[in-house]
Amino acid sequence: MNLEFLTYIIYVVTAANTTIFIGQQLYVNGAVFLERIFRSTPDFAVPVNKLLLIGFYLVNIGLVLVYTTQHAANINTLLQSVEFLVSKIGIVYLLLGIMHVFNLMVFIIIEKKINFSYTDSSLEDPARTYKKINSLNQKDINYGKSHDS
Amino acid sequence: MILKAYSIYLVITLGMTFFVAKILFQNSKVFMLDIFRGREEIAYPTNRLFEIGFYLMNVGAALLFMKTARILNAQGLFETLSLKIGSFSIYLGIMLFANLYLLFRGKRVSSERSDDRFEEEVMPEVVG
Repeated sequence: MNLEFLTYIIYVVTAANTTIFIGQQLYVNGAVFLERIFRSTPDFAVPVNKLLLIGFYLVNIGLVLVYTTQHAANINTLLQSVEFLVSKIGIVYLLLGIMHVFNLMVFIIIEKKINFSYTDSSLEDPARTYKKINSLNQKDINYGKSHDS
Repeated sequence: MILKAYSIYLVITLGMTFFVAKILFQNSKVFMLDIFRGREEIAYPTNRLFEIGFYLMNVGAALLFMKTARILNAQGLFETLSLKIGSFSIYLGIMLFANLYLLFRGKRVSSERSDDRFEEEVMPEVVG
């Protein structure tokens, strides 16, 4: 096993670990956003969150792996190995940042589309609508309580 | 060496396809039930058909993309495999997001339709 191969392996392990860490953070902290976005259909939040996480992993790890083989420089000394690692991992971090912003944009787009269609013609089925109208005041009180506590 | 590359590639890509399809189509049951207004006898078969289509497209793409040039050593194996598996992973991610888009679109169309019918027939006084 020569130095070049070893450098590749260090690069892939570092980048994949970072991706998984960031993905977990987004999954945990994005749950609140998705619960708010899908407040009219609460059972959608967890599935959508899971699918977004899997998509994030696939695209990021794919880009990490594709990017490994591009511009493969000759690595003979330790200095060249460190230079390779620093430049590649820096670009992977930038990529993760861009994907993170993209994910937030997806949240905003879903929020607009879904809640626009619900406020536009805010009814899905009769039973639920009657319930909604009857419990409107009750709901507001409950929201206030949950925010206080 | 090249046989080794093919077998590693096939195991990883097919495993990824099955894993992603399993998670995607477990979670899309909620969407399907919402789109078909809780009619399970249509929602679950549609889900199953989407799943089969997803398998066919992805396994087909994996097999089409398998062929590679001669590989000399372990480093070459690593480089080739990372390029191939990485591209396939991005493709799979795009397919996943496309499927998610279809589900959201179906949900929107379905809710708009039922709302129109609902406004006309069931409860005009509340809407108006």
